[in-house]
Amino acid sequence: MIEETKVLTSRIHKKDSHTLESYREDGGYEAAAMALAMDPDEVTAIVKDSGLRGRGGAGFPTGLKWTFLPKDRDFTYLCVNADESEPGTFKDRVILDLDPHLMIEGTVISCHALKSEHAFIYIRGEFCRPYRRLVAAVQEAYEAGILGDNVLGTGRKLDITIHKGAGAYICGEETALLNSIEGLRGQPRIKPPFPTNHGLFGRSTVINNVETLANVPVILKEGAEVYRSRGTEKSPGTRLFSVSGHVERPGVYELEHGVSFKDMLNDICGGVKGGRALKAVVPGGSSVPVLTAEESMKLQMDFESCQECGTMLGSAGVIVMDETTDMVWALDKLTHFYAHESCGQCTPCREGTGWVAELVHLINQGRAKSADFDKLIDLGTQICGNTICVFSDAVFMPVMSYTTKFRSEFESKLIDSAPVHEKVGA
Amino acid sequence: MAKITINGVEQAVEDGLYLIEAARRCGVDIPHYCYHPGLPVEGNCRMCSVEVEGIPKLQTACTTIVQDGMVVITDSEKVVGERSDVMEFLLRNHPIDCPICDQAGECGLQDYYMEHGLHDSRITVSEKVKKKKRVDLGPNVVLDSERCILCTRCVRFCKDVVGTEELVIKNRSNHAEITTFPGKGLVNPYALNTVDICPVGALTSRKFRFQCRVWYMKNATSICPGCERGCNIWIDHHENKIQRLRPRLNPDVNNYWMCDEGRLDFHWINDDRVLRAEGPDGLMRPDEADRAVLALLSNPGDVLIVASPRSTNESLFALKRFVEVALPGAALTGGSFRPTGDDDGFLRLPDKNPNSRGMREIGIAGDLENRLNGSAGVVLVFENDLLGDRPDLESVLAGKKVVAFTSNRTATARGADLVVPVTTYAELNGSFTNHAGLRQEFRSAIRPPGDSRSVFDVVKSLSGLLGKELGWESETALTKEMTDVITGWGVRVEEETELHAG
Ligand SMILES: Cc1cc2nc3c(=O)[nH]c(=O)nc-3n(C[C@H](O)[C@H](O)[C@H](O)COP(=O)(O)O)c2cc1C
Ligand code: SF4
Ligand code: SF4
Ligand code: SF4
Ligand code: FES
Repeated sequence: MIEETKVLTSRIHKKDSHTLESYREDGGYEAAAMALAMDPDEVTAIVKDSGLRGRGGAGFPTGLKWTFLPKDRDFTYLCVNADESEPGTFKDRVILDLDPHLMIEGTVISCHALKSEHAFIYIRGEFCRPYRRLVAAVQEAYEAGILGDNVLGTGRKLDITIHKGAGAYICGEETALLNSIEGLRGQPRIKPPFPTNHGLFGRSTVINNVETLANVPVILKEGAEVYRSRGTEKSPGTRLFSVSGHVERPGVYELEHGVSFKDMLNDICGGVKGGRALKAVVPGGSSVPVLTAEESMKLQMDFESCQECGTMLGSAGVIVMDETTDMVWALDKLTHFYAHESCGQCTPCREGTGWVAELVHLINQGRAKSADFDKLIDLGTQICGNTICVFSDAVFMPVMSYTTKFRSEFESKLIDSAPVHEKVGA
Repeated sequence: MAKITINGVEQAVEDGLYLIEAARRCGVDIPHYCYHPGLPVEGNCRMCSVEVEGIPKLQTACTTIVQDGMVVITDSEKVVGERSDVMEFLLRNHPIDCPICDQAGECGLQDYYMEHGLHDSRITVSEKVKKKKRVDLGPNVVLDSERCILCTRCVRFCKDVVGTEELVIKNRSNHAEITTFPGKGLVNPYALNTVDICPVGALTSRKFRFQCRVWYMKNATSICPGCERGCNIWIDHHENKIQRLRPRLNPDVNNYWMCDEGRLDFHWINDDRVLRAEGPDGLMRPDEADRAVLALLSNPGDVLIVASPRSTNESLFALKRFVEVALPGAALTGGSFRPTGDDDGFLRLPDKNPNSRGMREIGIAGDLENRLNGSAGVVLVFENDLLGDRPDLESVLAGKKVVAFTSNRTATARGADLVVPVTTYAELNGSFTNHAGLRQEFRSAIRPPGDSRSVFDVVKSLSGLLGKELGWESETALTKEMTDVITGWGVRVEEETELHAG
């Protein structure tokens, strides 16, 4: 029987956990005071040693990303990605809502490491209470001298600006996020140049996810070594898993990287809903390839095991689907979402996602022929590989995995599929 | 210089060039929609994707800067396949209005489909996304949203070239559309350039739409007479009528652009022309007209000849010689009362005449107002609408005999005793010298209507009647002498660079 390892979420069930008072009772901002006494490069080195990997989706080593900043830069921004819009992912919300100071402390420490005096927090527009609490927490931090012109009495400067999104999934992509903050249309930029060289308002910029930054105070407090003792070699630390779908107890759970999916499902989430049989699992948010029940039973929840399994840990949004799930219906919902969210600048993505969604919808309605299905598979590959951002891959992966792994379900809905012919012949 | 290998051929190209431009200079055309050499790059259409050795994914040639040793393939199966895929996507929601679309014949979709698409339609079912077919973006430009391929050339033109930022894209995904901000329009004075650079039929000129199929038109190189900038233009004409004017690339003068005012100012060439000479007793043949003029020239000291900075260098040079050899004693002056405009910091300049500098350099004095107020009893006005520009001059001219050599029925023509038709710049080979001293040649586009003659022909005939020789066999000889004697006027050979249609 496994249990949660509450490192980031140790406080969230406390009363008023979102307030500065409560945060301070639990030793809040001590790590920041410690870090600010250190040399910035030393802080970066500790984060690098911890092996912390980004929680926003790509899993890029955080410390390494920080070292990409040019040495001779004159100004640096940190952008906190709190846009959390990936279907199946809802863990940043928990931090923003229940322990915003943890993330703010992570921001204070990270800005020190990056020599940044200004951080932007880009928060998803639909997050109402989390937004109010974040605003209040930042306000508290200013009043307590944690932010402002004299950060924790060190004479350093740090401002935080909160920017609310307007409901576009694509603004979670880091360069679209930068555009959105700048007041431009929220669409990804061509890379290179990378944000570390030419980011927000043309200046050196680091973008990190909320959960990534929430790990930073923990790392500073307990040291890289202790931090690494949890999780696996390549995926150190704990992870906030957003579990949804057909489980008895959906929710956000903090577990060590490397736990088996099976244990998570049964011990933590109370098993598949109603004791039904498992059919499919999406382990890392809607954009990663789906796994069959069989595949998922061998899966460990860390970056490398997921990769071995032909999928990705992504944002750790775990979507569980039981035997009652119509996979065509599920892909129909998903592709509808992507068709709606493509920013529309690249031809293959703009036109392709809409076309894919339309074909999946037709199949789901039982109005498509096998030529449509073949076309869908073709389109899947035509869309990706030639676009400005990886959104197109995020469409390609579910389309290809659903149609391959659950092919018969798609085929059985085609007008000219074999079973229909038999019926007609009879 | 960087050495790059394109399709197996090693070439040296300038450092810092985008691959698409480097390839073009090496004679390899990479198909493209969103790229335009006069605009910042955006890399959104994905048509220009090529293989670059060492990089697994295709790279967009319009956003990749050449590097020494780069090995590029633009015609592999992968690249060709990708182009065809992009074409298929672009046409997915395209209305294929070609039969009624003004762009047909010079359309990037048509051209590249024939070259790089040629796929069978796989659009098996259902509707295309419907969008607005006729949006008045501003006074001059009409948008068909369904035809738009969202290349953002028009957006970038307004933002980065003019700086007015009227156009934006609204909505996401395949519902994205070009629009203006609520209550605002595409009103910048250069808006029609968006129609030129739009690679498809999405943006059309309100004046040109449905007027003429592009394949009927012939084009001639010319110079816009709208102001002293002298933007290089194409005159597109059909059945001896001008259909439209378009900017012609000249990096030293106007780059790829021209202003709307200049572009739309050609109807006077097509309409309301003076076709026959006319005197108090009615219409005259050219020889009758010349004799009638001659009758007024018996006392050269009483004659004032008014030249115009709207005339070509050649006309002005001929006029000056005419006065010198055939009419010594007559006064020659030049100038214009055309209202001036502003220097808007881009193309448009205050002086609305194309050849003020040419007139000065030829040596025609600009003391027009003084001379008019003088005692001359006979005034020959060449291509100058004195009364149109300054109605108050009516009293000044009242007691004088006025001969108007004019292409149009201007106010001056209406007040003249004798009207003689002459050609416009569109019917002449000639040149204007712009504000910066650049003498720019142009070719005649259409035939002169009616009895219109060039000023050269008119003064040649008049000198003949006066028993004098101007001294040139032909206009070519005139040009030669003129460019020999005026410093800096050596013949400039125009490079005929066509604007990329797509
Ligand atoms: C289409 C798309 C949507 C994304 N949405 C989010 C998001 O909502 N939140 C997030 O943290 N990262 C998102 N990302 C990942 C970010 O681009 C970026 O990699 C991340 O914020 C970096 O932070 P990390 O290194 O701390 O993970 C998205 C990426 C793509 C391509
Ligand atoms: S891939 Fe899609 S979402 Fe990404 S930039 Fe291109 S059109 Fe926008
Ligand atoms: S834009 Fe081109 S392809 Fe489209 S309707 Fe016009 S001519 Fe045809
Ligand atoms: S209107 Fe024309 S120029 Fe503008 S984005 Fe559409 S296709 Fe491109
Ligand atoms: S992406 Fe290069 S021309 Fe459009």
